[in-house]
Amino acid sequence: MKQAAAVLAMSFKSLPSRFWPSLVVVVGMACVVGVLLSMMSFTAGIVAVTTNSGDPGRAIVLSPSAQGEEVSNLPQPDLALIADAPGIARDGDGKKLAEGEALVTVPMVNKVKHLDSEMGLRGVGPQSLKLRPNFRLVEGRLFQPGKRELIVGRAAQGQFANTRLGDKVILPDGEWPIVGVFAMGGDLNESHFLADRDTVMTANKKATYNSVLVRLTSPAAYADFKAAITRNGTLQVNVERETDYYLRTTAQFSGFLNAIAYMIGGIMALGAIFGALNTMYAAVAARAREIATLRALGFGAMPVVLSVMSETLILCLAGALIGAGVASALFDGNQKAVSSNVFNLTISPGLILTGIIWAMVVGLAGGVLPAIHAARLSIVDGLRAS
Amino acid sequence: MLKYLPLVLAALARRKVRTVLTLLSVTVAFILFGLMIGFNATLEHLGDLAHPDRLLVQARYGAIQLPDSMKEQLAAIPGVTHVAVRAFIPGFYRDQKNFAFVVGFDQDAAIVIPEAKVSAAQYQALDQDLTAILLTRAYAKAFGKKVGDTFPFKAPQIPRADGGQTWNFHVIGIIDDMDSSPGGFALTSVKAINLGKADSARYKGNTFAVLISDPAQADAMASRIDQAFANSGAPTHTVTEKSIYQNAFASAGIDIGFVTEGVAGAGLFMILFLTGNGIAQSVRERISEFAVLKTIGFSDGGVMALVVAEAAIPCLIGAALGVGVAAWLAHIFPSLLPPGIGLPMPRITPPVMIYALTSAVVVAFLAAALPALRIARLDIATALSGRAG
Repeated sequence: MKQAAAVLAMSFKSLPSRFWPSLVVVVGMACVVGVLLSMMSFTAGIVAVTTNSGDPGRAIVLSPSAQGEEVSNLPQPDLALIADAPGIARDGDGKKLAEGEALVTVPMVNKVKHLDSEMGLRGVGPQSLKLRPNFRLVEGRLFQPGKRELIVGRAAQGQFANTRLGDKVILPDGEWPIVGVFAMGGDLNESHFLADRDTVMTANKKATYNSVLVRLTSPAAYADFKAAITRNGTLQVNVERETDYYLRTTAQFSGFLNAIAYMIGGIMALGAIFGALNTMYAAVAARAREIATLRALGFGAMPVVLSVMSETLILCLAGALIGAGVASALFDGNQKAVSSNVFNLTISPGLILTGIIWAMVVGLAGGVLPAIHAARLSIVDGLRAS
Repeated sequence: MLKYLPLVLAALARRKVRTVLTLLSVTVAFILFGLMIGFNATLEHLGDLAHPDRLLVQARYGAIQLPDSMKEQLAAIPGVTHVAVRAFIPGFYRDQKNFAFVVGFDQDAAIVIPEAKVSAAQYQALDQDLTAILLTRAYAKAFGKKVGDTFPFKAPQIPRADGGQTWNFHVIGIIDDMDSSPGGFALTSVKAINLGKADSARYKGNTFAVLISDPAQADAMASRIDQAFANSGAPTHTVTEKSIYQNAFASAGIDIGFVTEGVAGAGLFMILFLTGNGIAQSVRERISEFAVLKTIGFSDGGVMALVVAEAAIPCLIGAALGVGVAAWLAHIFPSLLPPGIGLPMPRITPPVMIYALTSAVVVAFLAAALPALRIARLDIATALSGRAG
């Protein structure tokens, strides 16, 4: 152990003399981790916003086999049938916390991309905001029931033109003024407009709800609730815990993006491994005499292996941190919109840890052969080396 | 020039491990470069496929459908020459993994969408038999279908008139794939889709493809159509086909050019350092040899050229190998995907190859610049005395 520490100290003291070669490993690793994390920040942002959106204490009811809320249709009488099920919490007045909601789209212009786009407009009923305790009005006032008024999510304002307080939005039945701005704990609703459900449905000639949202008495009450809904022969619906719903609907997209990020990162990491091998072989060659001297003095092979390995790992780690730093500085917190959903690119500590793990793998793969080579150097040849 | 090649090769052969590792990392960087820039080439190609005289009329509000009766009104707008109705149902064949979609055309698609290789007789057959379907070669292959087979298609998102989810089609023909839809598709008549759907969703998702007489007026025509329906019961949102292709990735939130060029650039930056360091080491080890070369009459430019060539050879070979591997990957990758997913694959076109080789030369020059200058400025006497390390 003592030997290992001594050899390690020596190798780091001689690092400055091998500055440029060492920089190859650092730069290579920084490129790999920078690219990997930049790409993964996209998925991490989507995961963050969907995590904020789902609440294990809420369940969402959709029409059977509808993959998402947008394509779901629930007849209005279903709401009363669903609200009859056990496991649903009540508000202060004793009314069940269950509400039918409508989700339609509104053509808008994305001001960041200067492109025609669309925003979601959620028509909410009297219980909807009680179901969402994160709801907070940050500007203006709430829409009035029965009136053609909108409130807009805070996140949407960063992406879409014509979303300030007082702006007017054209809907099928005329202009609707924006009377308020809201926040909702960074969830997907912050990308949307909210308005009175029945007025939204009339304007869009819609007869059905898209979903029914339910507040459970506790997350554990889900099983009872689901069983009762499933048993009810008059209800043709699909129940899902809200957290599961958001995970399921984004899993495919984020999985696809992550697969691309891993593929590109993997190819780059392979290049970085070759670079690290190159540098570390050169480093071992440059230290051949020093290593041979140590061996002649009675140092074992293991400390030599450890010293080469840890030098590689530390160079890779430094590169990973630089790469993560650059990626964070460039992208962390940048707002993006995937069609109507707004989220922030996120480089979380967990993501940085992923980058560090990648660096360790590259370091091990790039360091192990040169380390073994160093340990096997013939002492006699090493001492003769120039 | 070529007679000095053995000299350069000998220098590269001296440190075989270093040369091979440099070559490998350059190759890897250019695999990435080829895939990324090749993907840009694909997008450009797709943009070129867009018909400048074709517009897409879709529902302005997702919830408000465009009825088929709108076709006559569209055709009556001055400047519009032909209109075809299109319907679309997403779903899967047998298993949820086999994502697929069925499009419906009406007979006017023969004129409006000529790139679909469907004969007039086939359109007529589709119109007469509402369970008839045509598969493109890609679908026929992916799902193992031939003429006469049944094609049960499940579309859980689309409410059917009979309350079920399954559309029972039978295959009446196999058609060529369209360049714009490399993953393939199934084609039936608009009528079959409209009548199959429940009343509430009859025209949901239906769009109109509109041909106009003057492509230069495409944007103006798009707004003219939208104005015509602005105060109707079914407002429209009309886009030019060009803009659909141009904005496909941007509307998905991905600045694709930035991503592909950023990744390719990061790869090149990585090998720039690697190659530069390799060549610097090689030059440092052979200072006295360069001094000898200069002594026997090599000019400064001559020795500099030798250094640049030493950097350029692995760069160029690596670039060629890398782009070759990228082309091979793009070729085999579609067969690794589940059927029905038609992702656009990178195209390694001649401009992509030229871009790659040019980049390789630039990397080689940048990497060799400092070592080459050092050699050019080398003082022969100092170097030969071994004091120039």
